[in-house]
Amino acid sequence: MTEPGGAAEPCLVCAGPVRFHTATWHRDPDRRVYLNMCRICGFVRVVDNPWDYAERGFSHNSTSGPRVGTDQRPGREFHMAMLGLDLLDRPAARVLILGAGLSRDWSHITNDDRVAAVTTSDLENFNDSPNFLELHEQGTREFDLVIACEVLEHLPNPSVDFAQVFSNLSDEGVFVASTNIYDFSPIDRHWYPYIPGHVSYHSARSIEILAAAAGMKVDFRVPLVATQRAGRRKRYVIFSTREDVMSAAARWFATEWYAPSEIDKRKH
Amino acid sequence: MLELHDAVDAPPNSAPAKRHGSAKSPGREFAIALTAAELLGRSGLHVLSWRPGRSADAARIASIPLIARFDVALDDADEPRAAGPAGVNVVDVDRVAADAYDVVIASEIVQTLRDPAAGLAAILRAAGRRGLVVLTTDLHDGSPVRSLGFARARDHRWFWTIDAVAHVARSEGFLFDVRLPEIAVQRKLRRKRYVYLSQDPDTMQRVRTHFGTQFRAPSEWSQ
Repeated sequence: MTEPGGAAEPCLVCAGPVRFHTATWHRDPDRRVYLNMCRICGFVRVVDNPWDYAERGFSHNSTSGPRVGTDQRPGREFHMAMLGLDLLDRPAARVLILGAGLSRDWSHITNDDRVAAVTTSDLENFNDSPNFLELHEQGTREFDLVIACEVLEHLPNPSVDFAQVFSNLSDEGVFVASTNIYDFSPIDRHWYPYIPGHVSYHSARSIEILAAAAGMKVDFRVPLVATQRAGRRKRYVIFSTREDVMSAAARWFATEWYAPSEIDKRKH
Repeated sequence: MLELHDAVDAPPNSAPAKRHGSAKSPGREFAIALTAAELLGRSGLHVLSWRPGRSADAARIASIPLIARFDVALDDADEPRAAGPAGVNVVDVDRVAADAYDVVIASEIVQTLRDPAAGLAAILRAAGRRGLVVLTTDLHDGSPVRSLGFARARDHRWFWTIDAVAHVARSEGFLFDVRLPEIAVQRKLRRKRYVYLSQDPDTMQRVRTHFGTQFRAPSEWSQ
């Protein structure tokens, strides 16, 4: 089969050779995606699967369910921020939520005593955030904690895009992302690459490579929601240059089984 | 860390046979050794099991292709069967060579050490510069100790906190990570954890990256 758009290019993460693969959803033979799968780091590029949220609006997946925070109920970004603030362990944190979409979690996070201000950034200010950073302004301000919930899989050029995300972090900062991690199991049964807008499906190794290029350490933790609706490949990915942040994560999970998420009943 | 004064008078713990493995099924030490070999990803590994008790995993561990040598550290009180079959080397627990091993396994040991800090330090010193130490124990989480079976188990002298582990680790120049083992969920062992320790930041990154695709740390074979 010929790849749409020409021959497969080297891996966008490690420049390794890729294998072109057509995945067909096992429950619908008419649902297929075209993939460039790296033979070295495992990064999967989903070919021709873009989705412009500003032009086409939000998909059902991006607007429904408890993941997206409302005025009445915090969503996953809130819980990711609470974990990040625990690991950061400093007052007056400046928080940035990347790709916030319609989530209203900025308002819940603002109420935490450890937070000085919450800023959001996206294609547009979809969630009426009072502090909004245009995408082209990334890197012009420093944040202590950056949250990106279901964003990494939308970034088409990981090397450039990760560097841009990291440019928002202060030297001591922490970046917490939520995404699925490709685990090399049969990809035809993974729903993740079929979701419109998902153009990058990362392996743990591809993320480690991108982190190392920026001098970052990285940790992977299972959120509670992975035991239920989100599935076993869902991870929170914690980035920091600081070894003590990695130790703080180890301490956090010495007394907790899972990272907090939208189905968490704990009071923060 | 809590000292458990009444421990030796308490009834024996319900020693889980599956943890030790059997002729038919691998136990926890095999799962730990296999995971360590996978995440280190290099051949010629020298592996030490620190007082493995009744573990029947020796032959299985020695047969892992990346493992070139498997030693068990025993003291006079240990049952000799822990040494397992031929090809597994027995060393005196008081004469373990420093910086000698790529993997050191100490499964359910640290709560029984006579001198906890010195004992844990000795376990850590057995690992080489790029080596990995894997401890399994319950970590105290602030719950009332009297309500916890782990505190009443025979020979359990100490209930470690992660801060106590971190203190010894730091004094020996080790980094650490904590992971939830499968058995904790299967048997509702709320406080059971694996603690991974190494002096080498790259080895610790390998541990963390491994858990990008490993949901929980493997433990004894579930049946």
